[in-house]
Amino acid sequence: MKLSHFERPRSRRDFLARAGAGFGSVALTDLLFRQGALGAKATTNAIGNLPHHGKGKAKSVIFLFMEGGPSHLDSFDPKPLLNKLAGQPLPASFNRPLTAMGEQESPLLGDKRVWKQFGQAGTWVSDWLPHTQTIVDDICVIRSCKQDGLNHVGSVCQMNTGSILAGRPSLGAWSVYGLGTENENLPSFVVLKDSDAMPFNGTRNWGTGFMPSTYQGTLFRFGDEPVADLNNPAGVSRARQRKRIDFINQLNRAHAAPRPRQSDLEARIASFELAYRMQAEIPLAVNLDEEPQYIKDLYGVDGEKTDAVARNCLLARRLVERGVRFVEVFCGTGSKWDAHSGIEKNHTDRFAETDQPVAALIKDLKQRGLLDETLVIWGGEFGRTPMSEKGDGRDHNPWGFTMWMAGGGVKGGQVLGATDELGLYAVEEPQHVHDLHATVLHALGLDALELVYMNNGTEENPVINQGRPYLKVFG
Amino acid sequence: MPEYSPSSLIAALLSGGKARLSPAFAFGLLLLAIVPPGLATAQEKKAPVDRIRAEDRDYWFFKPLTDPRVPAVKDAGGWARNEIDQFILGKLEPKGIAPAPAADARTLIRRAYFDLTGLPPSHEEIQAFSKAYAANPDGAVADLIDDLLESPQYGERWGRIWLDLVRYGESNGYKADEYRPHMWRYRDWVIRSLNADMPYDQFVRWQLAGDEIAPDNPEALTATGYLRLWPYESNQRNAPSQWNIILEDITDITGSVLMGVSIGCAKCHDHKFDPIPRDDYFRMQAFFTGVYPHDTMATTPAERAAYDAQQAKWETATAEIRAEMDRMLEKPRQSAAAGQVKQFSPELQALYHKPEAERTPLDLQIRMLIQRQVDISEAKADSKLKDETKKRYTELQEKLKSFDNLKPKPVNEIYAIRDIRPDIPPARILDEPERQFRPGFLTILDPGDASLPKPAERPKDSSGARTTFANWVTRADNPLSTRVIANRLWHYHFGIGIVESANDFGKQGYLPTHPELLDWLARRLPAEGWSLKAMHRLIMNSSTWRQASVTEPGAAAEENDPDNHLLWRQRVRRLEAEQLRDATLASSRELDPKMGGEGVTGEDTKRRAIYQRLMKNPRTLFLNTFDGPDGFNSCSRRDVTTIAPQALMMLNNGFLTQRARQIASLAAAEKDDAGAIDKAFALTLGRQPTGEEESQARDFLAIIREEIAKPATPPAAAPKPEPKVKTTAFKGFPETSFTGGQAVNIQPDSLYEKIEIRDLPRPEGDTFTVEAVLNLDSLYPDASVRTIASRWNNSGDLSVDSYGWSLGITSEKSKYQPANLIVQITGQDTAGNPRYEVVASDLRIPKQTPYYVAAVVEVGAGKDGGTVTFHARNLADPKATTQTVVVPHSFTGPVSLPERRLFLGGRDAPHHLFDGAIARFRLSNRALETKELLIGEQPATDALVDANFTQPALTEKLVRAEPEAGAKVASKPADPRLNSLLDLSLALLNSNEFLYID
Repeated sequence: MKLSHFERPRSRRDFLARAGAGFGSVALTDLLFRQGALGAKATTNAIGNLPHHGKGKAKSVIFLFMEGGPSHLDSFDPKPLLNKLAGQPLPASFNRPLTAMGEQESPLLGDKRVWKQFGQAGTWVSDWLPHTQTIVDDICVIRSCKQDGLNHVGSVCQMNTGSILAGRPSLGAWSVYGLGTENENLPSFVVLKDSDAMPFNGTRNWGTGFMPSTYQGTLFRFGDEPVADLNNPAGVSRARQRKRIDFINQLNRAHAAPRPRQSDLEARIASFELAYRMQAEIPLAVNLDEEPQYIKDLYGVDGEKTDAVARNCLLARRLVERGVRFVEVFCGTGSKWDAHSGIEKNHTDRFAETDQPVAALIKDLKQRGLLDETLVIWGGEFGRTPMSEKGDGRDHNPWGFTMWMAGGGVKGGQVLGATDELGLYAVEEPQHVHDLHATVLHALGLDALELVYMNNGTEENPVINQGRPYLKVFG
Repeated sequence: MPEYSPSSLIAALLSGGKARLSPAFAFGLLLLAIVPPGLATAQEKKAPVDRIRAEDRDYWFFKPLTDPRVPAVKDAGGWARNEIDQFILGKLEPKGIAPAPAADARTLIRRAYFDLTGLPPSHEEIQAFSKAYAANPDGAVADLIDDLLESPQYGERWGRIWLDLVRYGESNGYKADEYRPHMWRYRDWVIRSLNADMPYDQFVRWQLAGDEIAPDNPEALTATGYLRLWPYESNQRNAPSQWNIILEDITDITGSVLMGVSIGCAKCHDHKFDPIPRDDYFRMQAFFTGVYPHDTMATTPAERAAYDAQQAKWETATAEIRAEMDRMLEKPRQSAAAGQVKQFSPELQALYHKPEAERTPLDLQIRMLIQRQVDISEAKADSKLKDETKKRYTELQEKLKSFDNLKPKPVNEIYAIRDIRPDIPPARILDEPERQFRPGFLTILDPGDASLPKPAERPKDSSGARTTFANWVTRADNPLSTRVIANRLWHYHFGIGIVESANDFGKQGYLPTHPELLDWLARRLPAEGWSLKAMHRLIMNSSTWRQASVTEPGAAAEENDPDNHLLWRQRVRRLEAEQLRDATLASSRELDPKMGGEGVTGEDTKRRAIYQRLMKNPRTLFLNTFDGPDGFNSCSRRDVTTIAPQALMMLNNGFLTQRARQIASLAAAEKDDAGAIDKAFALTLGRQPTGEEESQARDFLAIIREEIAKPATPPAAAPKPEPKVKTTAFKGFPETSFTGGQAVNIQPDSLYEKIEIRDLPRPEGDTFTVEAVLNLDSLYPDASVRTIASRWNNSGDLSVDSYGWSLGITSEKSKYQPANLIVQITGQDTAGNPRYEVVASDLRIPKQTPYYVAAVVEVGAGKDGGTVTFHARNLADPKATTQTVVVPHSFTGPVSLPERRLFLGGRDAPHHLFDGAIARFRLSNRALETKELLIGEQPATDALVDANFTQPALTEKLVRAEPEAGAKVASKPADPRLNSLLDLSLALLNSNEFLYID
């Protein structure tokens, strides 16, 4: 196997240093050597000679994270029995779960939705999602998701990092570790959120845990400085910044000359150049004014309710277009989907904010031919219970809930898995978060179990040795 | 399913293989790792001792310490200074590799400083040392090392290393991430103990069992803070699982930090690679199952007695008041507690309500976790009081407060550990509760149960289990712990340990490059009375440590050891996050040497980084950007990543610009550019520039001056988003009679930090009325002010240029007490001079409460000063009345300038920002009478500005101000010399010479 791209580094450390400079891919090199040594065939594809384990079509991922937990029972998973039994306690035949707020015995809460089937597969979608109704043939609805956390902290943490406990790398970090970047002038993992609030667990959702910070997500903020310290200090022109960097380079080259083996010195010189390019590139990437009005209208930019999510979805598209590997879009940031009471009002608002922009994203990716290589995931950290809480709300349901995927090789127009008759537990082909993560990585062409990072003597992988990709998703 | 046989598979994979991470090996690990844990149980039926194979017993790490002879070496050049050098030469000579020559004096002192203190030497110190070194190299180095070991900064550097290992943090982790206000006393104990050269065995023993070993010694009790560093989730309802997580955390961390084994891997099954049966995990955990958090005071018995006596006085004096309050709260507390307990599962509710006599130690521990949540609910019970009861309760609170002078201040509050009872629970596997384990050491070393001390040999309330473990782990012949600490010492003097994986000496880690030297050092430490300082002396006085790192390898080195495993030269290291921050402050001569105390907040602090408050989330600027430890995992070696965000931070962040500016102003004091360049080099790099550097620097200064002279062009940033002001519903005050129901949310570090009201060049004059309806979210932890509205640049100068006024609320550390409604004025006083005054109302504005506030500012005439009339009313309480006070001040002349902009929520300068919602703002150019106020019977209608954030026409004048994030410091175009020197200084701080240690 000859791969001219990757000259074997002198040592692992040298490579780490070198790769760090260009947001390169350490895992990739490790995997190459591993496979080479084992005599396995590393296949290459058009994406810059990256060896893929599977048949992944996706180059990028957009994870639309509905933080707080949207109700599957009122969106994608209709339960006629629920309305029949509304007002009664959970039938005795159902196991009593330990609910977050402890109202196990509260009566079942019926849904007030108008349900219809759409598209080739007759996918059920409620009237809360009129725009999503129009894209069902592009999405694969998975109704049997489950996870281990019960409260937001653990559940948001697991949906992002695989574990309910802090300290592990996020899915985006693993993706970047596995595949590297395609645009050196932009961060390879970008996080967007729709308000000034922080999601539960804050930056740990896009952190790297025990992995080097090279792979961490970068939070883009609203406003004039999307990335921390991106702008020059007031009064410093771009030309002056250039001169500063030139002088720093001059100092650092002179310093590096007698130290030819210390490759991280070169890496540091490169990092200033990269920083300088990012200063130019990021403002362009985030400039939505370049978009024509009809595209803005498609997403709902400037819409009374849709504006924030629309901007983020449109920005996500612009970022993957430019080669960003992983974009995580928090919607309802700060657990705003968490409808313990008054779910009607809460979810009416949340869907009004998200439905149009999300559907627009799928349409827009499709019309640009980007959908095939972009995996879009929709979902929260969990769903909601059929039992009521505080009379008109629903509690957390990590035992069975819905997510959907689209693009990146996903076969649209499918509904997979099922919850029980009341939507409490996933009963058909349950998909644990580990499986969902393995599925995402599979779409990217990565085998979750083979994507390994050594930490304190332990081989770590993204799914903690447990996930299997849900291959039906890909048809 | 095929029979699972890990041993044969491992054997096949390992046959002939080394433990370095070969691809085939790694693949093997993978295959094994995916076998579900449950399948291993067939194997686990055998006794643990029978599950360790003969070949595993041969693995070097678990074998007794050897007593290696110091190798005889030729050493033709007379290079070796001590035994360490002989061990190093012993490996180099057979390969024909010659060691590198000694580094020059400047490199040595810089290396020594960072190794022992984490700080750079000053230029003067470097010069003095160079002189001494030229006269007597060995003497100079020895003296330098002695001096640095005696400096208090030694404990700060090596304390930081220890804190990395024990994953120190000052908060709970998880979402709420509550601050732990007393955790820092453990940090200070670590620093103090290292400075005192506490013997390492005692250092470890106290952390594990100080409460048992020296129960009356407050220092020993403080040390047990080590066992309190676990993350804690304050609303976790699954208490047994949380307790299990806590025990696992203690077990895992202790295994990594003290024993160098990844024992956590044996949690679910026998360790796949190391001879650690699953039982060993729980045998080890069983030493710790008795732990119980003990929030107490680290006092001498005398201090304690004094405190108790004073407390008793207060209790007697307040007994009646408190009894009445308790009676009032009895029912609300009961219902709060009952409601809280009901949130737990029926099993846990039953456990909680078990009669006291029936509670097992484990019940007590789990009950404690439930009780913590109950306590939080109970503490909020007073919010349930209504009407008359509430009024009476508030009165009593006030009354109680009046006895505060009697109440003793707590002394040295700490988080310590004690045993729940002497009969500590066995360790259990959570989902296999029938399997229980008694304390025991690693089976491979000692298969039997550990013998715990008899009652006479331990404190009566304690099991002595932790002491037993502590004694074992600090035995001079313990092959694990002695090697682990010897290796750590080596690691931090050479960048990499003799075993590269400093937290894992098992088969998945690295093999030692110098096993004999490692054992020799591991024996030497106890022989030196466990003195770490003696070991530093030994290592740093060696020729090995003194070698140059920048050197041309000879052919033999190039051929046989290109990666320098054998140490034929020193290793270059990058500064760690804290060292980098401290070094920039040292360069600008701003570093505050104050030691100890509660962690300081704010990125601007001049204290050493180790004293910055260390929340688990979010982390500080430098830790976040330069590979700081994450506070959840034990960090035995910092990552060294090189990424663009570091460059952005180092070029653009306000902290760096400030330091560069300070260096520049020191340099600018020199009479010419040559002198200034010399000064900047001396401050940052501790040396004079070379001739070439000098001329390059001159050219650079000229180029920058040219750039500064060019007319400013706006930076090519993205077109600015609409600066419209966003509004949300005003919380807590449903009335819309004078708010409109909407509010702007102003929040520091967000886009809406403060709002400028445009095109108003001081129409309010010097007698005016400011009114606002607001809901304050928080105070600053320091003495900063939450500004409501201002026209002021807050420059601190007493001159006409700094005239202005500001209405605000004081914060926690204010000398006017927190939450005080104040007006600050810089203006012309009765004598016609510029003067600054704080006009304090002593009206308290509580947080999270909708409030109306107003200040009527009137300047005086002639010899009389004027007044500020303050009004405030709690809008959440329909019965509340308006409080009004009149406070005199001494201003007669102008109190603001037309060029100062009018701001809501901030000033015409950085910082002092509001945090919360403002639902109405009104500014009038006269002194309104009380009835003309917004809350008056006849509100005035002639305001200059009146915004309730619902009228679009008005909001056009309101413009979101540029956020200050990173506190960008504007360069003053007026001073090209200073600014070009700023750029030079910033470049030097960005140089690799500054960032790396040769």
